Amino acid sequence: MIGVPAQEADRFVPWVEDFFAGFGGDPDPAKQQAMIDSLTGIREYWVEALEQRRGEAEPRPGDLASHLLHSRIDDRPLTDAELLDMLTVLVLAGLDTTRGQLGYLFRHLATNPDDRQRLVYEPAVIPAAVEESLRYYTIIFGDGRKVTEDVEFHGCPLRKGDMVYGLVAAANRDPAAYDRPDEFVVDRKANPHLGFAGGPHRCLGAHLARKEMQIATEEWLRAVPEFRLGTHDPLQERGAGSMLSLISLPLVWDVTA
Amino acid sequence: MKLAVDAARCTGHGRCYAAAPDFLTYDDEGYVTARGQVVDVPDEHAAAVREAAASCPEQAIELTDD
Repeated sequence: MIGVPAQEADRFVPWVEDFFAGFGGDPDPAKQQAMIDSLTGIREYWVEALEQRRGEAEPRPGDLASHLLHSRIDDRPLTDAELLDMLTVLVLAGLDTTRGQLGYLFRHLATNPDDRQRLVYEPAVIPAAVEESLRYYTIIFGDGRKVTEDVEFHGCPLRKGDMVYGLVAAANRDPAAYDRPDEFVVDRKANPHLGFAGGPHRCLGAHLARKEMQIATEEWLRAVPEFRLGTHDPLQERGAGSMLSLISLPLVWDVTA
Repeated sequence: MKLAVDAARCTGHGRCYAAAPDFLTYDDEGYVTARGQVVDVPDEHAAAVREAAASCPEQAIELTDD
């Protein structure tokens, strides 16, 4: 969807895994080195991609790097450092999160056949199911913010410069905001969840992420409408920083002729 | 019914125009085009617009009955 050939996933996915294994704070020198190497790999990929596209008269259709080369902020083009930072963050912030969120949604569908069948027979409900997965399984469960002016928040005084932590996963189960907050309602209407956070720093990739999730779910269910968990082992998650992700999700399905 | 979108609160989540696609639409930057405006809502779109307002994570949409 951003102009990177699908087969490049075999290079990007290990890079992103190595990056977050080190980014989570594992002090193991090998993991720290792998993080550095993966970051270098991603940046070199984009340096080369930008070189191939530079100087072309028109942006390549459906190619984000090419479009960014033709973009302007106010009256100037983007600098090389800005281009590289944007594309690198897109890979780091975009691959692991969307994949992680899909893991929880697919696990839900594997273990809740009623919801799965609803989406198979009524694909128009898939966007609502994607939003509900972001509410119910909020993988970016919270984030820090710095207070910019003295303020009282619901009776709690906050001082300029204080750091606060917003636990959006809890807000997403707020009984004052949601009917049946602890239930996954596959076709939930009016779902103002904070799965992409809120305010001026809300997730920039939100639209891309939800579109990717909708397409992945739609295409998967078209090809594999019936599937189940391939293990009875307890769910294993990793939760470095402020993001949850399933370590693995074995799925099985029957092949019919 | 009238719909008002608070430009200071709206950050472009896009949940409103997803909920009411036949009435609300978006600009090149992904913001609802009604951002910072007050618009009349025809009766046939009222239900979808109520859902749009309730879907906004920023509580940026205010509805007032005529």
